[in-house]
Amino acid sequence: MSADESANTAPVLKLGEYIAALIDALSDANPAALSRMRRVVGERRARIILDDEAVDVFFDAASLHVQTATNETEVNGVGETDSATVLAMLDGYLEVEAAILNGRLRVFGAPEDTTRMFAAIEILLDASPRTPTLQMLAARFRRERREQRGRPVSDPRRVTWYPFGSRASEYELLAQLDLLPSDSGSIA
Amino acid sequence: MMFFDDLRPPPPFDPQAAAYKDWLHLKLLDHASGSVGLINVSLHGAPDDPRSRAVGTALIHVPDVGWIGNLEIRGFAEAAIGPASIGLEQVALAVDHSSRSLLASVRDPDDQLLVRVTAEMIAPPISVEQQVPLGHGWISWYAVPRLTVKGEWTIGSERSDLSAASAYHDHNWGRWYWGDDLGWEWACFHTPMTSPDDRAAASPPIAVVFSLTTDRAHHHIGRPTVNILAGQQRRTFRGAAIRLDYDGTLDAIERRLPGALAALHQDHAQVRLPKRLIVHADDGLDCVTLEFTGRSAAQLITGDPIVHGYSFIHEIAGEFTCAGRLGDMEVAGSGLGVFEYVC
Repeated sequence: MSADESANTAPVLKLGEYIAALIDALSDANPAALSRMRRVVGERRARIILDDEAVDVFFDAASLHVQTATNETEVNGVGETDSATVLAMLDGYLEVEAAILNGRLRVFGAPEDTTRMFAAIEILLDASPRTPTLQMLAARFRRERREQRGRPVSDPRRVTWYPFGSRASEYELLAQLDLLPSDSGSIA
Repeated sequence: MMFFDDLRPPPPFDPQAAAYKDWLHLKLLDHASGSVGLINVSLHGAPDDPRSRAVGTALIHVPDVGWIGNLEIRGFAEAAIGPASIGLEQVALAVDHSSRSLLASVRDPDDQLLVRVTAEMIAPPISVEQQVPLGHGWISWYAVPRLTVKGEWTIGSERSDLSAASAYHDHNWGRWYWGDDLGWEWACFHTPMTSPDDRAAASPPIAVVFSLTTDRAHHHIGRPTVNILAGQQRRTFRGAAIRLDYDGTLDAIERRLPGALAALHQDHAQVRLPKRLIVHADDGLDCVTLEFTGRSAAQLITGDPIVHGYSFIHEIAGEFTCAGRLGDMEVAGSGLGVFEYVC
């Protein structure tokens, strides 16, 4: 029985189990990447919320810890989304930038903490092309959450609003650098 | 001796086996709807390395709808790999030499895409067996500029007969790592078999294939080649006989796959891609000018499974017009095309 077939018959993984499996896979295939991740996040704690599941994750000297989130626990950053959003991003129907600006992916925390949280995710993503186990976990997630997929339509529209006000000088600078999206005329 | 173009796995003890790449492509140009389909299957890495991947891609650009389809990534052990075929769970492509045809199948219910096509080769192949330098490696290819199509695709609940479509096939193979200092520009353009345009109706059906290897920045380029097939007439232009012009910037990349690597490479979400490609081919005897206007691009991010590195394959679907003279024959036409821009 292949790993893929065994995953078909295995019980559905919970959020915390996915996270632990991802870190295990990274540790096995690319320990240097895991060391980098540990250096990046240090002793910070992150709360990850997916649908109705919430876990707190952190490293100590020995290993990764994944615990059910509680109100009593303080964390350095929070990332919150739902399975439909993750699936839309995995299938290329939704960009991270659009997910954040549309409020489908919400991230809270001090800038340095959230930056480090994103850097940890990037280390994981960067290892994935060379780590079949990570690819299998992504495939499993897609299979297990299939019924939560949205309509498969590519949406080229860029987000036309921002949740915070911007000064005209910012737009002028972005325009000079040619960094404005093509439909920026509609940004208000 | 009969020559069959099969997959080219590395021989035993090939020191470059880890950089092995092998691709089978089928482009479908549906002149009735204006839709452009890309179906390909590919192998990346040494066959005995468990990290090596087989990738199937099925993407169709439907005007006013967008890019439908997806890609799937598997280990070699999970793929049915034959002498000239690669079959994955959702995407399969096989070359049948005995009938000079290609069979393509896509079953992607999650993305609401089903394709079943048989394409018959009606043009002699273009064969480039020599190892053309590409980054630190090399690439070779074999292309059939035009095939007829029988079959259908179903997108969502819309089923379309593809008998008015035409197809292009190529097989390329070689040794390179994604992320190396490499790139290429490649395109195929087809007029329909019968044209509603009076001027073009006097001209036979036209198929044009353009290819050019480059470095990643597209600053240092190899020798471009343009192959033109007009009815039974075929011409090849090379090097200085070809002038390329680029104009404008495509508005947006509509779809980037796989999504996990798109998330990683936010810096490549808005790559500057040319809106128009103008190819002037003139060798003093024959001349053709072709103008392609892109309407939409998809970005396929290829992460090498063996070494750390990424390349970005942009598939630009659009329309073209061309006009010129091959010998004493005037050629003119318009149709659909795909321009591939890799960096």
